Amino acid sequence: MPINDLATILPELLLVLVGALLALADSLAPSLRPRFALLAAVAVAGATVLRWAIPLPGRVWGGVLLVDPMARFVDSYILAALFLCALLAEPYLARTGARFGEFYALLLWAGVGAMVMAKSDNLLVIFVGLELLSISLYALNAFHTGNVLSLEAGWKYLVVGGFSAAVLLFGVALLYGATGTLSLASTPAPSAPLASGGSLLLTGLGLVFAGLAFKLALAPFHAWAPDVYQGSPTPVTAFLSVVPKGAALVVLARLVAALLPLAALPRWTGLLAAVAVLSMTLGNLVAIAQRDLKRMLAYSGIAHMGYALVGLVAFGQDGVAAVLVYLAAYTLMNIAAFAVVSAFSEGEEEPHLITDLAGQGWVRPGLSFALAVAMFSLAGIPPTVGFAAKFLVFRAAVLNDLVWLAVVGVLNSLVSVFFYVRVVYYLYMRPLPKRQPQFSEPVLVRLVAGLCAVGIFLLGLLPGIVLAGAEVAARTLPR
Amino acid sequence: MTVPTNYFILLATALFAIGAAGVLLRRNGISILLGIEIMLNAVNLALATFARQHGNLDGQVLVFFVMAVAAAEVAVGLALLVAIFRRHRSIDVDRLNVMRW
Repeated sequence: MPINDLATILPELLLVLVGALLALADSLAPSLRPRFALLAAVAVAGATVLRWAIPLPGRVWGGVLLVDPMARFVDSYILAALFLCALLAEPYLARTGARFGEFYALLLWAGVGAMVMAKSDNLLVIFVGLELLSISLYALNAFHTGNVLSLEAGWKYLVVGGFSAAVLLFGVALLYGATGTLSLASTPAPSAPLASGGSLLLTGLGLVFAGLAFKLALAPFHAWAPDVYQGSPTPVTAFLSVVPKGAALVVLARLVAALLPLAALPRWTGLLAAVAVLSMTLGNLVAIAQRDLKRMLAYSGIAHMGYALVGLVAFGQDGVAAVLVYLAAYTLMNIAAFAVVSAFSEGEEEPHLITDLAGQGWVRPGLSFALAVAMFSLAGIPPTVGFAAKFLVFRAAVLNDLVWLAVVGVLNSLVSVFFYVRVVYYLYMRPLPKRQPQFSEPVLVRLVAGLCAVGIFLLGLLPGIVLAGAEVAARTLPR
Repeated sequence: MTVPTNYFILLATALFAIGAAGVLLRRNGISILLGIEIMLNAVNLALATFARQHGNLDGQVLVFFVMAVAAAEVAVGLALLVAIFRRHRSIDVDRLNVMRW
């Protein structure tokens, strides 16, 4: 192999080192604090360049990591999310008086954990990546230690995260018992007789799925999501709502691809389909009742992971490519929405009420337009990227003889239009209230919201750009 | 005479269930962290058992990683409990119920 193993993980190494430097610089050179966000963003940009400059050798590090087009695709969107969240965090932290280097260090490390998860082909490495991501996020969620809601969010995420990690790990132990290896690639061929029968394998797979479903906030395992979304610092919520979910979905795709020949296919697909339907329906119905924007976005996230799971149920190349496009789209629209939410500058313990947006469309045209675009995209209205992503997912379902699943998905989208458009209605068609809530409009927040809005339109009009990359990535999965 | 693998797995499952029950039923923050530890150690037992059954070391290596990660998780958990105690003068997690849907 011409390429050194160490060179294949240069982006991750860079981010880990810069994270450590930022944590150190916080105590050694506190005068640099206003520059930390910039440094983190530059490091993330550098990591992105490195990821695209380094060739893709495939299996490296003794077969533990898979640096393939799939890994590059997922890395790109994790890095994009990191970049946007780092920029978003700076004005927010400055305003709330918590501008510390540890914040960016933990953010970068969490990103590295997700990147490791996305390219690992070994259950041990998946677990370590997951925990690097989760433990960093526990601390980030509770970053406002003086805020009751932030502490509550941190504690809830920690307990749910620890619990789900243990469930996932028990599944890993059972899978290991059934196959005798932790490597996904060297799972025995379908014809090889399994030592203890298929039940051990199926139970293990079910438990691993449950563990990942906690991370994805899929329906029976979603109860933590609204509280954690509401209580966490908003830039952290933006990160939390896209990056762990993407990494977990990719792990799930790799796991299904590796173990599919072993597991009894129909039962497994039925389980995934049931969870997808439950997530979509519950997420959308409960979102209607929400008055807090962050909680509404949490339930919307539950529903969106249900849509993305439809692509995974369909599987095949078009299914996986659709899931990857969905992740990219979801990243853009969610970060746009949370960027606008982070401009709410009343006390962090106040709810972020949708009614507080009344009339803001005419007072703050830029931010309001970005929020409206994000809402239309989340609802799946053309010409936004949300429409393209939903179309691809449902097309994959129809092509794989899952018409009923596509129909349920489309009906759910219809329901969801109601609560997304209600936000736009408040923005533009309600008079300004007498007592106006306070907003801040820092340049960086407007920049992030603007970038996301442009991306939503650009990819919505030309979905081919991201779809081409996703199809190349999906081809690397064995089937 | 060797003890059959099944016994170890049954014991691990029982321990896992006890830990899960502890997480779900206890209201004291430290007891909840203990419950998570019991769950993780049940997994360690299962991993060591399977490693012996298959005659390779993969499972035992994972046990070490689980221990290290569990320690990190508890460190963050205890730090959070300290912050919560400063705020509420209690680590009864029922106090952490400001947010409701």
